[in-house]
Amino acid sequence: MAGLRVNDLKKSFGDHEVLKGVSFEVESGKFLSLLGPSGCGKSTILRIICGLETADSGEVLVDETDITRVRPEKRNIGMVFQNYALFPSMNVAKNVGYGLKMQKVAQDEINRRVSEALEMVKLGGYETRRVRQLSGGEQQRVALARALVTRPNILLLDEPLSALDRKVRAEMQYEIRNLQRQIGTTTVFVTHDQEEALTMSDQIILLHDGNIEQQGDPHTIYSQPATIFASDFLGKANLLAGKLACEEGNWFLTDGKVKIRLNHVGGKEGDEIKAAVRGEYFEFCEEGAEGANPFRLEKKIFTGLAWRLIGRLGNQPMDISALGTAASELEEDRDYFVRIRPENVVYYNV
Amino acid sequence: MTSKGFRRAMLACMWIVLAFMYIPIIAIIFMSFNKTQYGGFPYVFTTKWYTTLFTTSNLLPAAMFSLRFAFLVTIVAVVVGTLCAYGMQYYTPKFAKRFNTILQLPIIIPWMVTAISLLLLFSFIGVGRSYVSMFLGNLIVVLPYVVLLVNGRFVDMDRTPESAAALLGASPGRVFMDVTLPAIAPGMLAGGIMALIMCFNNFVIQYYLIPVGENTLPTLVFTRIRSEYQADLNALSAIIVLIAVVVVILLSKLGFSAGSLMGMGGGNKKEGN
Repeated sequence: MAGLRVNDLKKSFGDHEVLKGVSFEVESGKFLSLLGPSGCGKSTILRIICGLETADSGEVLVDETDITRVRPEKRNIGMVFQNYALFPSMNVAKNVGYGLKMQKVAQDEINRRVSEALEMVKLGGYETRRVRQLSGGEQQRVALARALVTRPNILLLDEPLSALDRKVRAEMQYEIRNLQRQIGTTTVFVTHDQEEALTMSDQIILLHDGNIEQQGDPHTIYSQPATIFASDFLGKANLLAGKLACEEGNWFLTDGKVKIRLNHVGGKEGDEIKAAVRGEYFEFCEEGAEGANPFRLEKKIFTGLAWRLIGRLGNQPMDISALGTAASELEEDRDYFVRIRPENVVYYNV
Repeated sequence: MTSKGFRRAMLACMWIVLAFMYIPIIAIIFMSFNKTQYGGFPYVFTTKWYTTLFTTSNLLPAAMFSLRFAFLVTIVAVVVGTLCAYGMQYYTPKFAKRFNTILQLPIIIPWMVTAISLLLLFSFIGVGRSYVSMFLGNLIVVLPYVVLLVNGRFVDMDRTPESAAALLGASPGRVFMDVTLPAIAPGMLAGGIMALIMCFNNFVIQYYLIPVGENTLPTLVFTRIRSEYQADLNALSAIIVLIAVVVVILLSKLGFSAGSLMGMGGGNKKEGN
């Protein structure tokens, strides 16, 4: 068990600045996700933490010990790769036991711990199987067992689930998290899938262009996106443009046609702002109800869990999602009224 | 849609070309069992040429020397070529591709040119014809094949298991032995077989660079055809054909075809997982 801290990591590949000074900390035993679109530098951070890549500047500390210049094989950091990275020439037991063999653990003990680790990832009895005979999900379990059997200080997961199909992925999300809670290894998880990050993490760091865009627990990041990028990346948010206005101590966004109440956090009357609102926070209401705004429904799409209602709020495009029961009677090309609670509106100055 | 007649004509072409290539090979095997010296008729079956080959004929010492020589060149070529291919992986793909092109040059340049220029070079530094000159000449000719084949394995292989091994505590040497070597071994083996064949039968280089009065199998056969021809040469040829067949089967088991060896692609099976 160990805490991890990285200070001001910078890295360029040629002219391309991949990391522009990233610092963060993971408490011992916590599960942190680095979330971001491809090319945001999240995998580079992992590779610097484990030593496969060298940072141009900055440092990596495990339990306040600087390991920036320690060779990768001496860091005791476990890693699971996107493409599993199993050793094709070895069977399952040899793969899982490789790290223990390198630590010169006695063969009896290796066998015992390998069996335990395989049991833990629900592959008990797979010792003599060839790696190539396993399915993608099974291979990733072997990789997980291999990374955990040496009891590393830190576990790094580099998009471990993105090569798996949807159903297996959901199972593995749950199992990885469960396992991590049981063992308590400090874990850094890299993903571009926001749903995966929200489901699994204690903390999420949202990265964009080599900088930290926002950091927080999943709920805060989702409901209070700090920037326009954050609001758009974590589940599509609707952006409404307008001006900030104040009436009798209440603040609003107005664009002439709509008037949406919001909690004032800065800016003065008349400022141009953009508000991010999530489609699922809207509710349908009567004309004239408090906070009601006109919504013209143009298209209804059934997505399984909910209906996606595409239309216009005033003049601006708007995507509302509503649960099946609430929306099944709505008709296309008709006018309705919707409202949203002020605490669910986040706005940014532009 | 192609007409039936056209298809038949094309099929006939295929068989004619195949026959064109294989008739000489089959002929020499037949003639190695024919009693008359110059392959004339009537055809009388005999194994006497095989007996001659293994008893009175002086071909065997030269054959053994050629074989030992080819093995030595091959071992050195595989080691040096693998190191070279490993080094290439540290360059950007763009540079490695250019390097790959440069490597193909020694394959395309006629061996005669290589041989003459080497002879000039060795004479200039005072070595002249020698076993060392012949060794280096043959090494130059076979090295590109080893490098290209091993490089091909490097390009096809997944390099992340090497990172995984390092993170599990393996030193760079261990990583190479445990992970890299098993992955590139088929390329090294194919390169080695290729080098062995090319070196064993490289008449041109050996003719120019071998010390005066010495003989490898190809140079000896060349002299024998001109002065004291006997049908034991046919028997020898038949045996070599047999070995070649074995080698081709071995190579295709390794996932290579002669085409892929020459960089023409198509024969290299990718291993799925």
